[in-house]
Amino acid sequence: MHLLGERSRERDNLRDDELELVRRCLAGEQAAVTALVDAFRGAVFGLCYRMLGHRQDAEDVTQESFVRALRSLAGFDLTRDFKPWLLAIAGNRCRTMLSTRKRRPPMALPAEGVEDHLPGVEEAKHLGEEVELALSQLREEYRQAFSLFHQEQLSYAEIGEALGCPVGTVKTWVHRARKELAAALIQRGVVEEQRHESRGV
Amino acid sequence: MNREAFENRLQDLLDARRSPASDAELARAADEQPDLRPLLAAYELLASAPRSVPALQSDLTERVLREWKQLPTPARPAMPSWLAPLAAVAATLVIATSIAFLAQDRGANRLVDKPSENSAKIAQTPNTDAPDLNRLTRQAAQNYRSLAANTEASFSSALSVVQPNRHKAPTTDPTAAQDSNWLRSVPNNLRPLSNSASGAVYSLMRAVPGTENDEQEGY
Repeated sequence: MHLLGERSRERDNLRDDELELVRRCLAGEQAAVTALVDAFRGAVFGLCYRMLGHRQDAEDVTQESFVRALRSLAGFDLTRDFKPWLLAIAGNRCRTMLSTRKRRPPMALPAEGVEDHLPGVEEAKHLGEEVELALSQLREEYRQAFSLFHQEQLSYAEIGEALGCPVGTVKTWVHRARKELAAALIQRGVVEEQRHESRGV
Repeated sequence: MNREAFENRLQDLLDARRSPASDAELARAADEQPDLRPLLAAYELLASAPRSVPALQSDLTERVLREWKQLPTPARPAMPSWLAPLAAVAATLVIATSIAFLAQDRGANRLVDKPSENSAKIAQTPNTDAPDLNRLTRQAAQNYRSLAANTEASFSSALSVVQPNRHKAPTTDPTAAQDSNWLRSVPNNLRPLSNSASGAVYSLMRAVPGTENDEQEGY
């Protein structure tokens, strides 16, 4: 209970800080705009990169999303949280770009050649690559939902706003993604290998 | 614990952003059933999935600021483009309707305000139509009086039902006298509520000679 209360207070403080930044931006304060972009650029870029799978495109859409958000800032409902609103704008821009691309977004990590690095590389890096490889073979919705939840640490509600779908759907996608990823990792012997390495240590 | 229950528990833990390794029940189940161990290890790996996003270019903030400075009015909410013409049409309709109503009402008032002049002129004009006008006016007055009588009768019967003692014993109480006059004044009280046409007829009736004291003429 005490921990929950503390978390709630922290969230309220964070929200107050965000709203103060928004108000200062609305007043035309340049320092506030800088602070706002710095505070959320990682989250927006992470979302764009997860959705587009291409660094340059993700950077362009991140910039465009911030400019759009600042342009529409006067219409922002101050009773809402700022981050989901911003991520929803970024998600819309990503979907627009994906619809104009007409092709499946390439993953940043190459699917080939990962196995060549198996022995002799750092374990964490190897496991990360294995997860990314398995992720690249998932359905796009599953991959995006999983990455946003586990790698970008967004909540289900935030992912729902960003991807423009209900929270229940997001949860289903994440669960299916985990199930398929776990099966792929077991099939590839990644976790067995991890177990042997652990025993060896 | 079967495989499905085991996996559901893993999903719940990951939803709560907790590590499966910290759950004693899962660890016990994995110890008892070796085929569940790879599943536990896979979910542990997923729970700690590293964030592998490339670094963002450092000049993003400057680029956003440059574009932000070029925005014309960043703090002003944009009005939808279709709203302005719609508002203009609505305003025009409201003004036109108001003008039409005002003109209609003014015409009726003019007839009510100056009926005697018009009526006197009509009465003095040696026109063959004059008798017909008088007859029509008298007919209108008769209809009006008939309506008033009916209204009075209706009120009276309604009142006798609601207040049956009102018409019984006469009293010297001045308020009681006012009460009895009240019933007679009902048609007059109703008159301001009637529409402009009946008001005009009433005024016309008063203006035409012979209709003012119609009781004396046998109406």
